[in-house]
Amino acid sequence: MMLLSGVLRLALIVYGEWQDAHMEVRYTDVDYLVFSDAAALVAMKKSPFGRSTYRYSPILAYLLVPNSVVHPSWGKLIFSAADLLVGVFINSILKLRGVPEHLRIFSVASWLFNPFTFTIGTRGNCEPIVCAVVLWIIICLMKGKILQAAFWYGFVVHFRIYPIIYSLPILLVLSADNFQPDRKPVLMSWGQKQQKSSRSSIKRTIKILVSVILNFATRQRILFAFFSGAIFFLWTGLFFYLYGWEFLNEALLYHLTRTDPRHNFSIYFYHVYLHHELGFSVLEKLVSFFPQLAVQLVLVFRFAEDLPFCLFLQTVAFVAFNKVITAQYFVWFFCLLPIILPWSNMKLRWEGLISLLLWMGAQIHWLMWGYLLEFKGLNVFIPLWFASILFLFSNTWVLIKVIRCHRFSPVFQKVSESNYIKSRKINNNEGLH
Amino acid sequence: MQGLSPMGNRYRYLIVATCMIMSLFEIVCCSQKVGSCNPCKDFLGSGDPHVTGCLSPQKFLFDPYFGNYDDHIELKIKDLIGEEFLLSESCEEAVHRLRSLFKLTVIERHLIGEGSHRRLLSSLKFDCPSDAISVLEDHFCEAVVIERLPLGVFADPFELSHLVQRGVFQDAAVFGDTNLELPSALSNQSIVEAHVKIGIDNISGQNRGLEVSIELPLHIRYPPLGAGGGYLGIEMGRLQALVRCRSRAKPSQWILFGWDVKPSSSLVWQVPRGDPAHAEFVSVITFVSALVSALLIFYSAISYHSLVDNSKDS
Repeated sequence: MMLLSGVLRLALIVYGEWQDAHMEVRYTDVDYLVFSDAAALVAMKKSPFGRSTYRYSPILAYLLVPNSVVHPSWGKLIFSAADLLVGVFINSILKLRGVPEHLRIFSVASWLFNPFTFTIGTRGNCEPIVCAVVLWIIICLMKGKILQAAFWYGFVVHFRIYPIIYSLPILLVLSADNFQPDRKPVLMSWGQKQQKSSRSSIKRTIKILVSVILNFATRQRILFAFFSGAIFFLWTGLFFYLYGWEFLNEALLYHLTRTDPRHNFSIYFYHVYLHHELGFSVLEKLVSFFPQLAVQLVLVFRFAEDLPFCLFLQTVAFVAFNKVITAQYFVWFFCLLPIILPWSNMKLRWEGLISLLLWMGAQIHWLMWGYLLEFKGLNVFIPLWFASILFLFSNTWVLIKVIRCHRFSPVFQKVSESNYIKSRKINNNEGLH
Repeated sequence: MQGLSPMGNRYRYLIVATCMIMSLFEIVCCSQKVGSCNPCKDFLGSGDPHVTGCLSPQKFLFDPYFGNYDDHIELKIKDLIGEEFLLSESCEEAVHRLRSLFKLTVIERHLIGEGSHRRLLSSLKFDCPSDAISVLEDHFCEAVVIERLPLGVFADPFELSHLVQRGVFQDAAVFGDTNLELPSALSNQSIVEAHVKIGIDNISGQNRGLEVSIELPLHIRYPPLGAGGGYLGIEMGRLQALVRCRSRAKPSQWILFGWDVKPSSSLVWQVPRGDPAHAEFVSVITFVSALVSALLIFYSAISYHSLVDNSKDS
């Protein structure tokens, strides 16, 4: 399967070269040209931010320097390799969680042969790198390698910022109940039934909240927070030293304050355009931030124990409520989907298919109006904005459907529970003898 | 629409849904208006250049004004060349030799394509004497167009540089506001200078004329809002066309011919714009939609226990 997907990606990169040379519409993503231009500037010992609209960490430009030395497709190969690595990591996570082989293969295939994801890397989008790092962080946590997880977490937040939303659920799972010093955490197996007390409930959510507040400062949490913070500030400080405020404004602050008046999937785009000449009041900014914050908090405190599921829900919600949404953001949650599929009771026929068609239908509907505005120059702002609202509702519907069909399964066994299970096993064995 | 009472305004909110369905019908009506693209054709009489002379080698004619383009956006071609301009005896001789070759008789301009990304095609047609081939063999010549882009239209300097790499242009640069993302209300004008090679291939077989075409990819910024929405007509600015040649034997100076072209008819780009009257209801519905979605997810997360765990208990 890996070989086949590798060949597929290689063929698409070659095809992309041909299309770019022979057809008016390029296969290569516009962002890839931006990365390549920035990398060319780095090769000339100039700042990558000399390329306008380059709004990424300089690490990306460094990574793509061979684009101007070896071959322009170098970056696509790197991104596609990361894309394949995501497939490997999906398999590793599911294996660690004891998922049967046939389900693992199905889940890995849902990433490797998803037409949306394999075109993203081969068109030159850097998101597969972020996806691979996020999955690697999950693997590190599952193996109890907290320092390594913190290192990569600090790196990935510097690289792409949005994984900052994962900080709270990661800190929540790093509880003394799940991690004990000098002991590997015990993982809950796929088929394992939970103790009733460990199931998700409102009482449990409140218990978690109280426990977090009272016992927040555990060794693991402090270690993770300080080490990941140090790595983040190290990279950021280094590039601030090299490129100054230009780096800070373009690669970090821009993403935090970004509001785009041009059409995009976000419900806010027309509102932003209609008010862009006057600016926005603090109240308006708060009102638009409130739904995002509320949804993130409820999802984290409700589902943090089932970490991959929580990260998936958070990402879908974060993208859906964001002020700017572009299609590349969908990869952020596509890479997490395969690691929650084995716990879903949703039947492909017809619940799954209907959810998929609804989500895609809303997207295609939006794209139709977007095409008429951008490529036909027609005044369709109202229908396009309405299509954005439909898309938000389709995201919400799918998200709710996924929640309702999910079998809640904490990643880690509580130390007390694992002791209880161990003692039961010992008792059973003694009984047999 | 502006004269509607508050009651009328509320009524408008209710008919938004109807408008959305009607907008499909509207598109059919509008498309004829927006999609039209009349070429702008100017005949320049004798076609004699407005300036002739020689210049020391420099990459772009607009270079000296970089960073101060606002003051020079209306400069005539003679002022543009300014102090650099030389007219020595040897130059006069060179100008005389090439003058007959470069009589610009017709300029045609088209806006090609539709929507936010179009191409501005400028075709320059010259009279072509019998000795044109030998002159072009002895000289390296290029046509230069200087486009003063109106507010709201921009050229992507990186796209132009890729076209230079692919050999479409000899050179190209954007001066002025090169920010690619800001809307019109927050941006300034820019100027594009593009160079294309003139060679024997440009001599047309039928009428022995010499024709050069320059196709500039242009993009639109989001325009300022306008009462009633609809479309904003952005008129393309005037064009300055130049031809510069240098002798292959003596390449140290450019021999230059320039024309200020005042188009007889305007070339207009119709751009859709937002209606400020939409501001209130768009904001209300946007925030209500976000809140409803957030509440649905909130409820779904909170009630998750009863939906799944109970079923498992049974």
